[in-house]
Amino acid sequence: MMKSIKVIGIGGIGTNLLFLLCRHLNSQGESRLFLVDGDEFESRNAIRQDFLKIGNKAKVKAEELANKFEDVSFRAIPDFVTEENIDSIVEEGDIVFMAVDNHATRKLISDHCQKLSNITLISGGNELTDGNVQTYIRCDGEDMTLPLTSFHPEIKNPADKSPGEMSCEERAKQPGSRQILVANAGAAWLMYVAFWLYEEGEVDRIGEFYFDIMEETKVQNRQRKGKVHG
Amino acid sequence: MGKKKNSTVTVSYSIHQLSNLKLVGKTIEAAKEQLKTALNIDPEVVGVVNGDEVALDYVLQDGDMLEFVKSAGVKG
Repeated sequence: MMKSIKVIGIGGIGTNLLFLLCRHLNSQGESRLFLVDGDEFESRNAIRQDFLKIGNKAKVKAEELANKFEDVSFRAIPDFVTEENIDSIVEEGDIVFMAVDNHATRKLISDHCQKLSNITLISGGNELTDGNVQTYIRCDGEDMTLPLTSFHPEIKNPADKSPGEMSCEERAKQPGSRQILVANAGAAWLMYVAFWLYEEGEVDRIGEFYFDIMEETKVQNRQRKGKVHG
Repeated sequence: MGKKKNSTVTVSYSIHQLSNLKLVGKTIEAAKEQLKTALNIDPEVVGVVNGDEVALDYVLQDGDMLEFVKSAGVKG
């Protein structure tokens, strides 16, 4: 069966993840890769985000990748994920990579995944020099790992809004905070590590990954198994 | 000879882990206060003992594995 993979958020983490993911998928046979983002690429982010031209991130990146990876079928969804469209974006059996920049969308997608029977959700985020990756796996209606909201009140009760909830004016007024490529790339690499472990059937090894490039470039894998809800 | 009693706690936060801490009998709140500078712990974090979320007044026991769960990164 052809894999259906969604990458939500094609920014600093997303574009660095796609570099690894597409090479992996291209060597695995046919797969469908959906790129989801309602935002436009801005040249001021070129140091962190890999785009050849200005335009909608999902469309531009899907076009670039289609020219390079013949065994992967690419489709762009040039929208932010909202309550209205999530049913058609995150579907049964999907493998979803979430590389967004707000906890409201993380909660929306994690909560939606909890209603599905079979889903794999790999979510990465970073601050200036550190970050984390969470993986939520449901199989035949049972949680194999914890939802993103478990032990994370900042995701369960997000203080921010998703871009899909904002007007264009509100989005334009969002303060941009400094990010660096090495932190985006660190989160992207750990998302790929989680995916590789999943593909290898090593689900028991997948915990929550943390990295900190200012602390001896350490990576730590935290296993929490106390509360997996069936 | 009797088995040596384990009277310490292991505490982790993000990439950090500290072993053999003499925190048995202390609450999560007290442990957080004691370690907040050493581990740079965010005041809002959740305490997890042996895999389960616990309240701030939970009293640490011999051999407990305490994790303060670092907030997820927001950006991407």
